Amino acid sequence: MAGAAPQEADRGKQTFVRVGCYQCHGREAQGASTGPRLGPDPMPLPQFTRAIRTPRADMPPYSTKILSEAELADIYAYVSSRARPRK
Amino acid sequence: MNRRTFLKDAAGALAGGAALAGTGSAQAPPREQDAESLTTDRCGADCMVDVVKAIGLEYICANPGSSFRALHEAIVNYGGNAKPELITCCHEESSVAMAHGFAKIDGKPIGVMAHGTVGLQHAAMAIYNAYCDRVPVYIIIGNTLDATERRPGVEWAHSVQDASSLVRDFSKWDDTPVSLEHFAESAVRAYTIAMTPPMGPVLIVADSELQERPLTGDFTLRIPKLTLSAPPQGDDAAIADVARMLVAAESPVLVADRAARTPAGLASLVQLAELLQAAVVDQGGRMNFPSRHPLNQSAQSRATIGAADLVLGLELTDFWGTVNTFRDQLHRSSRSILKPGAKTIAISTRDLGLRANYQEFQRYPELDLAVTGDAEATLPSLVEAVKRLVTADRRRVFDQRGKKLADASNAALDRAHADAGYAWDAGPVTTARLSMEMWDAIKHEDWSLVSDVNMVSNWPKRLWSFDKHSQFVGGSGGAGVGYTAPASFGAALANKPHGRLTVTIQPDGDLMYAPGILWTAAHHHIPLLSVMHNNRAYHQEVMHLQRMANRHNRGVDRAHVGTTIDDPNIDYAKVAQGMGVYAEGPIENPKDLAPALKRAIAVVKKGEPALVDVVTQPR
Repeated sequence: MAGAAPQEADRGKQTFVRVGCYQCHGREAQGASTGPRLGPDPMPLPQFTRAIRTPRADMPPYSTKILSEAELADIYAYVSSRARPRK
Repeated sequence: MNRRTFLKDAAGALAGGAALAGTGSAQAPPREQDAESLTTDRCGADCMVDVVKAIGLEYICANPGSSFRALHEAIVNYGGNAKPELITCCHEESSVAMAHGFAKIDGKPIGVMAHGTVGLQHAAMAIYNAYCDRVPVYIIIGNTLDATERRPGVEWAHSVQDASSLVRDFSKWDDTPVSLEHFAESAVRAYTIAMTPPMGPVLIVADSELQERPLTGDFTLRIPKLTLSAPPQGDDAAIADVARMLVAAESPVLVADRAARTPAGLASLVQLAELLQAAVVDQGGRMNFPSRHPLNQSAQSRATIGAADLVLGLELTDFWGTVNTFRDQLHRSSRSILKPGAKTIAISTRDLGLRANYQEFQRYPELDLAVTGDAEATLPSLVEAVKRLVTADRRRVFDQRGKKLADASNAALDRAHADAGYAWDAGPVTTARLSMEMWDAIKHEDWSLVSDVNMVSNWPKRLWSFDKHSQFVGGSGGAGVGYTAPASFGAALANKPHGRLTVTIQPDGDLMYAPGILWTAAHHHIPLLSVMHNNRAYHQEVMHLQRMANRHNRGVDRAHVGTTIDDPNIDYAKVAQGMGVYAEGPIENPKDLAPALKRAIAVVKKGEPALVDVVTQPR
């Protein structure tokens, strides 16, 4: 997310771990067989939000009861801030 | 009636009078006398060892047990502890899984000995894995059928009316011989049944009375000739139909799971694929197809199958699951991924090995053509049938198709290398980095990876170049956890005479089922490099808990309860060292991995096991 404050990414990292995103997508959102890579160039936020709230495939749904909009935005900031791969 | 009196009265037969040998049988005790005879120079177990040697079991894996004490003693003394050699295991599940892994490399079974009660109960899950994986394992279980001969106490607790019934739902055949002649015949029969596709585990009960029966010095047991059955092949007319459909198809896909039992199966599949320039999806139950072959489309299997107009399944575990998706949400749903009009064909022995109770046979697949026959045995005739039908026009079409598939395969490899670069320096170590460091360490050796790769996101299959049959053996079959460690050592035992560098990617939860296998490896000098995939959890279950918690709107905060293996973290290097295995770790910085692997490989090359504990990302 262009222009995201570092503190948002930091908060997002904590939330990313706390709500278990890393279990399928890896701690750096690098992706695995259990979940695709999410950063550093994530899908646009509206699609990202839809994929989390109402996933089409097997991903567990995250309702607003367990992940607020603000927390979701922080996660988006975190995955956007991930490093590019080594060449 | 005590045993000795019984033998005087009814020489050769067991309690109940079934299958009585004639009076004057050569199995009678050495002599009848009034004074008690306390020793004998020969016993029934010696004959059992002769049988085991005749069928060619190289090893017998066992945790010692009194119900087979005479057979145990005969193996190590009368048999000289060579072919079979006794492998001391610390758990019967390890014994069976070792035999499972051995057979995956060697193609033939080794033996397991266990109590018919508590030992078989321990062994049951590993037998189920072998059954699901269609792998031959030869199991001899001890029992004391004659109630009047049992020592009071434990021997009663360790005796059973029908020992094999515990695992009969998931073994291929069993018998309870009541004479030594019966033992010889059934033991040979069991071997042939185990080795006839679809292969599977078999059991023979060695009654303690038969084992300990004293024999005269001149007694000889006739052992029937062992003749292995040629595997069943698909019907000629049906194979001709398959060939016509393959040649006519515009985008056929060959999907293989347990197809290549031997190197010949791999070679035949390559031949068929190249003849047709057809896409191949290797589901990895066996080493079916070279990972970097230009026709290998396994990295994009769903898309490839979805675009196909013909899917040929070769020994698929789950044809339905191959051509459908299943959505695990609050309301479960599924849909076909096949395009309209796509044809499906199966060549498989699957229907020949089904049992009703355990449901490993998966959902019923709707097929256009089903051919019952062993895929490997059928492939040569299919290749010849295809050759007869290929015209110059079709050859041009095939060649164009092959070029596109080669481009897709190259793109998949490039994508894999790019994907592996993300979080390269992260700690815990990514499974991609783990896989690449391992590949760099072994790629110039004659290596053999003997663990499945799905726990590490299939990175080895995406990044390494697999082209020999011994380089991969597939998974457990029944997904019974605790398989990887003992099966890997079994496979390493089979690789040892070939001088191969055997490596395994060892999940932490799996090792904790029966870590005593590490001692077995040290004791018997089994060279294996175990690289721990230590994600400190039963991670599959973490994800299931997470799914349930989110589904129920409760959040995942407690998904770790009952699913993680931390607090305290297990120091696997110390565990291994405590059992006499060279070990390093825990490694959390990926930069430390390469030198640790180098040191561990040096140990393995000297003929010993080594373990490198790597703290990893979940998958």
